[in-house]
Amino acid sequence: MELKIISKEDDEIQLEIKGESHTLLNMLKSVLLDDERVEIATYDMKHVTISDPVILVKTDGTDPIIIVRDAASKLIAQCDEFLTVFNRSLK
Amino acid sequence: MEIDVLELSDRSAKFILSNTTAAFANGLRRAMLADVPTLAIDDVNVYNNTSVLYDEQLALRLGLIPLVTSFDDFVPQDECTCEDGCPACVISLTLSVEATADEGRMVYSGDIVSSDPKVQPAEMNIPIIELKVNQKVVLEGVAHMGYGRDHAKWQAGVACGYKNLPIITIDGCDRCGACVNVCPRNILCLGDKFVEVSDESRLNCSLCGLCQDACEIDAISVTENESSFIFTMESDGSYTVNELIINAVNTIKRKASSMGDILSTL
Ligand code: SF4
Ligand code: SF4
Ligand SMILES: [Zn+2]
Repeated sequence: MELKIISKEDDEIQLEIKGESHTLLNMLKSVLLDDERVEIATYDMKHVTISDPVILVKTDGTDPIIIVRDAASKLIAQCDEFLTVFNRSLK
Repeated sequence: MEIDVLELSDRSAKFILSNTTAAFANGLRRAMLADVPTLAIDDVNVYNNTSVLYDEQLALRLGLIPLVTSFDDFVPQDECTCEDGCPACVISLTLSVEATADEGRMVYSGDIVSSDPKVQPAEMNIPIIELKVNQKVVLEGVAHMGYGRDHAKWQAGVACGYKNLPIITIDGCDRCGACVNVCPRNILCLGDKFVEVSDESRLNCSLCGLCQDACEIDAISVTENESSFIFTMESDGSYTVNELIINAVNTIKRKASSMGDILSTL
């Protein structure tokens, strides 16, 4: 994965996430929108197969990089929770 | 998050995933279809093909045969550290079949001979080509790991889908029976006092809403539980369903953590 900052201000970032698709971006967006510090979180993929998605996050003033990083951690936590619950349900 | 496994075999599963978001459910579905890499024949060297099928058509059929894959032993070639193919990214399979002078025969996936005993066709009885008398095919297939998003031959999950858990509420029913007759899934039945639906059959409800429309006094309503999902999924045999689910979640996790790592360095 490769990230490219397209634009960054104190409360807003546009980040291109190379090689990723709706799988990650839609999950990320949903986690971001659950964060109270986030005002806008959305992403765009110009073309389903040849474009890299660009995510836009506007915050209440908190550093958007920290916000997106927190979102990635929350996503990891969700996956861990799934794996724990799934393994338990098989017993 | 909770998971209630309803059915689980090597090839198919049905489970209820609750207390989660639609985004997580959809991410899981997408990952199983498109983001878990599997092995499939990708390059074919044809040494002899006197069958009625073109080489290309034969190659396509070979590609679509699911191969049992051990997730940890292989990597997609462009993610491999080698330059031009090594045992971690390339595996060779051969197919050499000749019909006799008296009798034709069908070539099956089970005729494929793999150089790695762990990598075998997931089904042995997939027909590839019918050979007439004296016809033969001799070829080598080179399998690579790849992603379902690039070609269906690398798609491990098939028929993966989910729907919201239906909630059927009945209140003030006068037992007219109209909804029972109209339900296409036959999941409603007339009880002693009002219409009833068992917990088990409730899962079959397609949320079509016909029962609601049929009820003149609005006594029945069907809504969806927005945080619970009934998943149904099948595997093509590359992985067991169990492995596929775990690989899919790990794939998402890996994506999220490499993103987190890059962001920490910014
Ligand atoms: S919504 Fe459709 S499937 Fe579900 S109970 Fe009503 S009629 Fe039957
Ligand atoms: S149509 Fe309405 S009133 Fe008639 S049985 Fe169904 S729920 Fe009851
Ligand atoms: Zn290699």
